[in-house]
Amino acid sequence: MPSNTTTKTASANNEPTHEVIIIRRDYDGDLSIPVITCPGNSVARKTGDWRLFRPAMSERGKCVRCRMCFMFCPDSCISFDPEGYPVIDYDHCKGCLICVNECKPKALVAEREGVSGKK
Amino acid sequence: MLTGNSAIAYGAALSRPKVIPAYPITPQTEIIESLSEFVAEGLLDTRFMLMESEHSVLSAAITAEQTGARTFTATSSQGLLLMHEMLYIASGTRCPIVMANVSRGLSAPITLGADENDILGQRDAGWIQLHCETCQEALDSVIMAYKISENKNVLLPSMVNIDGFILSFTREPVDVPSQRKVDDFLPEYSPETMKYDANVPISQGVATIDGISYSYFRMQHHLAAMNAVRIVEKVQKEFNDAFGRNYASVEQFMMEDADYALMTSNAITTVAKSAVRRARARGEKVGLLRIRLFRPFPTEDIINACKGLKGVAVLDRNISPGAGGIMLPEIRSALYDLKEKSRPIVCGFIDGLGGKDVTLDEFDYMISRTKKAASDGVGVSEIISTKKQDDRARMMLSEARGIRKTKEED
Repeated sequence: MPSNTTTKTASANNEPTHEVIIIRRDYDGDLSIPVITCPGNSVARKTGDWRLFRPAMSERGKCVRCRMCFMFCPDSCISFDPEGYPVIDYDHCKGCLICVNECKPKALVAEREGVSGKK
Repeated sequence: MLTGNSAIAYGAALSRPKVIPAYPITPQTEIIESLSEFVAEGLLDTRFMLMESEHSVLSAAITAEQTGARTFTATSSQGLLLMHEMLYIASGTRCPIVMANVSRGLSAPITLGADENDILGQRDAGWIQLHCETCQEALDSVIMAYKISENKNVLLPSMVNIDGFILSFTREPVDVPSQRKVDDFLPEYSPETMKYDANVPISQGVATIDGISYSYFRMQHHLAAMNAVRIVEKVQKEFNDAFGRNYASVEQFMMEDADYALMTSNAITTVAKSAVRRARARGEKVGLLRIRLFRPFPTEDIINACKGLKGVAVLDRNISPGAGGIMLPEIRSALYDLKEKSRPIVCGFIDGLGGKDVTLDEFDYMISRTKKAASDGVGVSEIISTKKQDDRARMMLSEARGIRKTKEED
């Protein structure tokens, strides 16, 4: 059974105090091997957090629904709504902007993260 | 009569490895040559792979283990260093590889003779380290190493170390156990998690990216290594029960009523034991402690062996430039918290680098210098040699530099 010793630290500036614990754990056996046996769990890691620029639809009217953006996306982050217009998975889009580069009608454009209040 | 290298090759063959990635280097090449001969003669059923470098050898060993195949390899000095980054990967992915290291002093300058710098320099890589005094111990230790490494409370790779030339090419009588007896002692390796099974997909050696999960795995790795201290003892006892040969993590020789101890490891211990016998014949209460298990460090055994002694003389056949020997601070640190009256004065002596002989006279000096240090109450750390050897060094240096001797020196 894990047992941890805790100490509360006092802070001079009345900042929230952090509890410090000594790590005392048992050997976790099989769990201690760094492997992933649960398939499909990579979806839980939000690689979209790394983005500087995001691809965004500037004008829907420009999009000709050619699906080239989907073909070129290296992270499989583009799917389509019922009308056939691209839907970008911003949790996993890393902002490589290959889709923007490949979009012939220039419907997809690059937007700086955080500029339009989107996060 | 087998050489140290042969003994290791037999120990490896008897352990039935499924894969042997190999690359030659003096003074270990005879190990992989012997194994390849066993394979060619149909005596050993294994996948023998000659790789393009030691780095590739260990990469291959890791991937073989990750499919669940028991794997063996051997290397030395520069080869061991070439694998350096893969050593951490082997232990971090928890692959129970057994690797023989035939220790040889590190370049530069180039030497072929033995010292401990190559293997002790890998002490932080997270491997188990067993250091052997005899050819018999080498053979036995390869077999024991698999049982220790593959234990599910350990799952860490092991290195079995022998001295280059001094042991690797020296013939000693060795009892080669029968395959049947080894099979009884060492069952087939069948891992629960790390194996290749298309029905159970698994991602191995994945990135943790952040420090939080990384810290967890590193800590668990440490716990596994700490488990290994008692697993090593357990396996050594089981080996004794099965084969009648007893090995201790810290061997005690003539320590019963000793006041002082010489502390050594590897094959030079045999010479040190002669020095101890001579000292005993002179009436001195001296014993010897041999470090067989270096990682994980057998702290308790060291404390139990050393507490109450007046002095310990540690022989470091290695050097960490700018600090001194590697073994000395490990021993001093283990004994630091002992109460003053049971804590011995610990002295360090650096000698025997690159295969330089350590003579009986030097061991006698270590004992007497430690006695003096104990009565002075202060430990010392010295680099020693015999005058004859030092004179020879100076002579060779003059020859190399074309310095002419003056009339006085002639």
